[in-house]
Order: sequence, then structure tokens, then C-alpha cells
Amino acid sequence: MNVDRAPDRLPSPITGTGRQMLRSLKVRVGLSVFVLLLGDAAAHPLLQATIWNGQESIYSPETGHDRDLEHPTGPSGAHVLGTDALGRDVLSTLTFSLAPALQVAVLAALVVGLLSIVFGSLAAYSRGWIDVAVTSVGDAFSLLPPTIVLLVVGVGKPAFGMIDAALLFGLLYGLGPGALVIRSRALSVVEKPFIDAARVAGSGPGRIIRSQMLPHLLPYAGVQMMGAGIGALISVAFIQYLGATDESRVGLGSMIYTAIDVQPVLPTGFGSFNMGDFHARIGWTSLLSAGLAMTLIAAAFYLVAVGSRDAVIPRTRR
Amino acid sequence: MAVASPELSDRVAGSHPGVLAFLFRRAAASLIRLVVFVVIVFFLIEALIPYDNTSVGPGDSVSERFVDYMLGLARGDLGQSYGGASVTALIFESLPTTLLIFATGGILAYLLGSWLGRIVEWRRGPIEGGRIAGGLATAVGLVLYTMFPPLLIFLLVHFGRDPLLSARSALGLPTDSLVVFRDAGFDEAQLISFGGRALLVALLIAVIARSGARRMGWRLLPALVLPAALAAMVVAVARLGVGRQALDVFFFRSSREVEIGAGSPVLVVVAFLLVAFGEVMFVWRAGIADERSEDYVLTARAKAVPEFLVRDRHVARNVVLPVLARSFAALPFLLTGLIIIEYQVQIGSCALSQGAECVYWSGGLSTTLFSAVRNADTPVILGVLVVMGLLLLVLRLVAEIAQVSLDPRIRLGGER
Repeated sequence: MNVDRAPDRLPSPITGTGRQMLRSLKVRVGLSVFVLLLGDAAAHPLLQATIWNGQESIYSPETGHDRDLEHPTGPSGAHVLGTDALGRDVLSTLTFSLAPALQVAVLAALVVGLLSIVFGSLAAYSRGWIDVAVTSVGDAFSLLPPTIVLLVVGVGKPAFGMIDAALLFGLLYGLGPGALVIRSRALSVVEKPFIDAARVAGSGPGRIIRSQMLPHLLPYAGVQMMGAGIGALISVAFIQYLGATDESRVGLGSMIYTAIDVQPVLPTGFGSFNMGDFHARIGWTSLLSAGLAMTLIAAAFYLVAVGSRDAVIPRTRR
Repeated sequence: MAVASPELSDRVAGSHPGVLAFLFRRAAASLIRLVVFVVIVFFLIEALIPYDNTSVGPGDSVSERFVDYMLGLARGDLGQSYGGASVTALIFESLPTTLLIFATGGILAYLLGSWLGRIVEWRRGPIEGGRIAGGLATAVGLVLYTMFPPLLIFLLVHFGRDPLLSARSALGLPTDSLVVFRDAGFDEAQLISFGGRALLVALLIAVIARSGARRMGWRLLPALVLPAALAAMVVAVARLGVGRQALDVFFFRSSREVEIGAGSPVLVVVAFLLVAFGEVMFVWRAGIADERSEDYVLTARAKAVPEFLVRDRHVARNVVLPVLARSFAALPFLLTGLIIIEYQVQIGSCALSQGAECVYWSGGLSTTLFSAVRNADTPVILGVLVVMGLLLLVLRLVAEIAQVSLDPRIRLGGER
């Protein structure tokens, strides 16, 4: 009897895990939030092509300005989410900013997932010099806060784009804390009896890592990916917030910057300072919609990651 | 007995080399980590923002500068900024403030997060209210943790300003902060650093006393220790006659011309606490969830051990190690968060003061870092990154020693 064939009759652990995840309410809510955000992002070109068509000067997310109003304004018929201090339509800037923000978060998360699983499981399984190399590099990178590096680079290199930022963040996080966490998880998986059983049954290292270890590591990798996605999102927003990137670039971070920091009219002299005036100048719709969008993206990541971890590892479920 | 039995002294002597060897190994590993880290950072920064060669001799190649840098680092010299100042001096001027806030906010966040995490996760169960509280705590923690820090600060400053200013006048403090400090004989920075250190000591004593009291099995005392320590601090401040100044620092500072305050360091601590406690809470909840269905919990319940003791003495002890490890893994991100918050409290509250004279507290590491980034001052940026790495490395070494003292298996089992 060929013992090696036995596992083949079982359903693939990866698709089985996927089905288990989808059964979790958290995962389904998280995925719905993702779909909602993607829908909002997709609405931008549609709105530009239909309702805002031919009104480039008013509704452009970068240069739009409605001359008839004194900005910022609250929600109105012409501007559903109002306008910001520079006179741009908030709905337009928001929908325009969502796609790049999602791109940054998802890209960073994918890079981290890939790097941490590959290097973490390889280090734990093979031990020896591979382990030493992965942990030394991981230790060094985990002492280096990615946000600060992104900030330094973002200011130093004007051509540094959002995709570059996401890749750099993913690299620093994935080779650093990500790989270390997955390695320590993989170490405890390697010591489980079923790995020995698989070895005795004649499975090679590649097969053991893929079908025996990976299902146990994926949920933890998911949590790492969540951390990286949220981290990259906030870091890039912070670079935009500082105005470090290209001046014309519109993003969630620069929406908040514009709402808080750009005050169109300074009061004349200290004596005539008026609190009421000042309060009115904050672009509340811009501020809150950008903040809400970031929190929603983060919440979607959290729900999917934690929900799938709970679904796959029943012990954490209660 | 004057003479111990040979067996016993052998055993005692035998156990010491194990601990010392372990510590030595860890310290050596940390040194290697540091070297690898500095090499990576040096060449990363060199590749990303090249050193301005005009300020040094034309013959200075990258490799020569690298050797110089490493030799300087061994002496504690981080080189010279483009402005000619010593980078070491620049950083150590601003580091204590950041460290103080990091430690104070971090300890408070740990206490709050671990308490909430334990309570919320343990109560999850058949009771509907418990689940709702759990969901609510998660939502609040998540929103604060993922909220863009500048936005959080802005909301804090915006909505906190008026209540704090009226509280200020209700306490009889003048609108001008300078009046409060005029005849005090010390300035605000001195008060902050003294008060911060005192608070830190009080918190540490409280933490130690709490765990001691818990070990004795007293039920009420652990809950009282922290309020007692804080009350003792308040009494001490009042007795020392610096109450007015302390209140001034605690509430918004008021500037001379306009009745609008710039941010106070207390605001930084509050914001940092809000951002950081969620992380600790999540880690504790995950840890408790991992352990709550273990057999020993059932055994303890069967023995009729009170529920809070099962939670705090049986489960929490098994959870604390992974929690420590994960919390320390989060430190770089919390430190980054703090630097963003520091920056925003200064800049954000100055933006709010609308061109009025903006007197803000001399900030911590963020001031040094951001002005260096603005000026593309490579040596200072490199220095800040190296010092941050060094700080995190020292914290990690402390964590490792704590882990060993909590769990001898790590030492006996060798490297993991």
C-alpha cells in the first residue's frame, strides 16, 4: 500500500480553510465593507463621465473650484459632501482617493503575507544557517520603524510614488516583524506529531510546508497582513498629510491636511479674533469622510483577518 | 548552618553559570543585532538620501565614511549635522522628553489594556451584555488604534480646548501661563521632567505592589494600589507648593496674547494612551481566548476557585508571556505613533492658534527628526534611526530577561 497517496483523498487544506473562513460572520461583514469601498472607488470615473461631465473646473478632484460659493461649505445639492477649504468637491476627492489608498493597503498586505510565510516557514523548517540569516535580517528590520523610513524617503525623493511606498513598507515589515512572528508560529507547528507522521509517510519538505504547515500559519499571516495593511495606509496618509509628496496629489491624508491646516482667511490682528469664524472654517465633511474611510478600510482588514483566524483556529473562538 | 552540604552548594553553583551564560549569550546576540542593524540602516539611508559630499573632503568615499561612522559609534559619537552641531548632543537633548512620555503613556496603556482585555474576554460567554461590551470595547479600541493620529489629536484639541479652558478659569488659574511660572523659581520643562519621573516611580511601585498583593491573595488591595499611588502624588504636589504650576501644565497652556493654548505634554500622553491601549487589549484578549478552554481552568473551577482568581492567577500567568512578546513586537510601531503624535500636538495646536503667538513646549525626538527631514540632514536622520533602534534593542533585551525570569523553560530549552 502506498502511504503517500492517502492525504490526496482528503479535500485540499487550502480550499477547506477558505470555505471555513467564509462561514464566519466577521469575514463576511469585512468583505462586504471591502466591496462597498471598491464600489465607492469605482463610482468616481462613473460620476465624472455622467453627472459631473463637462464640469471639470468644478468637480475635478485636484483642481476643482466652485466660484459661486465661499469655501468650505457643508453638504448641499450641488456638493453632496460639501467642499473643502480649497473649494474642491469632497465627494469627488474622496472617491478619487479611495482606489490608491486601497491599492497601497492591499499591496503592502500581500507583500507582507508572501515574504513572511516564505521566509518564516522556511527558517522554522530547515533551521541551520537559513534560520540564522532570516532571524538576523528580521531582527535588524524590526528595529527600523517603516513609517519613519517612508517619511524620510518620501520627503527626500520627490518621485517616490504611493506604489513604491507600499512595496517598501511591505519589504521592511515582511522581512522584519512578519517573518519573525510566522517563524515562531511555524516552530511550534514543526514540533507537532503530525509533521513527524508526514515525514515518516515520506512527504518531502516542500509538501510538508505547503499542505501540513501552511494551513496552520495562514491565519497568523492574515493578522500580520492586517497590521501591515493598516500601517501602510496610515504611513502613506501621514506622508501626504505632511505635504511631502507631489503637491497636486490627492489622497486621504492630504484631505485631512487641507481640512485642518489650510485656513483660507487669517483674522486681522489678535484683537479681532473670532472663535465662531474659526470654527466654521474647518472642512468638517472633508475631515470626517477621509477619517471614516481610513477607519473603514482598517476595520475591513481587521474583520477579515481576525474572523478567519477565529474560524480556522476554533480555540480562539470561545 | 555555617557549612552547607556539598550537594547543595554544588547545585547552587551549578545553576549560576546557566543564567550568566544565558545572559551573556543574549547580550552578545544583541550586539550582533545592533551591528547588522546599523549596517543595514547606514546603507539604506545612503541609497535613499545620499550624504551631501560638499561638506566633507572630496576623497571621502562611502566605505571610508562607513568605517568612520562605525568607529565613531563605538565611542558614542554619531557624527556632525550639516549645521555643524554634534548629532549625539542634538538627540540626547530631546530624547528624555520622548522617553518619559513613552514610558508613562506605555505603562498606563498597558494597565488599561490588560485590565479591559481580561475583563472583556473573560466575561464573553452566555451573558448577552458581556458580548455586547466585548464588541464595543473592540470597536472603540480599533477605531482609536486605526484612526489617523493627526485626526485624533485634532479632535482632542478641538473638543477639549473649551472645557479645559473653562476648567482652568474655574480653578482660578490666570489666562497667562507665564504669570503662573513668573515667581516659581523653576520653569515648565523642569517641572515636567520632575513630575514625569515622579509619576513613573509611583507607577512602578504601584505595579510591583499590585502583583505582590495579588500573590498574597488579597482581593481588594490590588484594585486600590494604583488610585492610592496617584492620590499620594497629588498630595505630594500640593505639599511641595507647585500645585498651581502643575495644574497649568496639566490643563492647556495659555499663551500671552490670545486665550488659546498650545498643546501640553499631558495631551501627548493622553493621545498616546488612547492609541496604544487597544493594541494591548487585543493581545490580552487573544491570549485569554487561547487559554480559556484549557483543562486546568476546568480543574480550578471544579475546585471552586473564585472566578476572578481563575482569570488573574491561573489564566493570566499563562497568557503573560506571549502577551509580553507580542507587546514588545508592537513597540517600534508605538514609538512611531508617539513621534507622529508629538509632532501633531505641536503643529496642530499651533495651527489652531491661528497666527497668534504660538508657545509650545519644546518637543521630544519628533522635533529633531522632522527638522532634519525638512533640511535633508542625513547625519541627523541616521542618528535618530540608530538611537531608536538602540532603544528598541535595549527594551527587547529587558523583555528577554523578564521572560527568562518568568519562564525557566526558555533558558533550559536553549534557543527558540
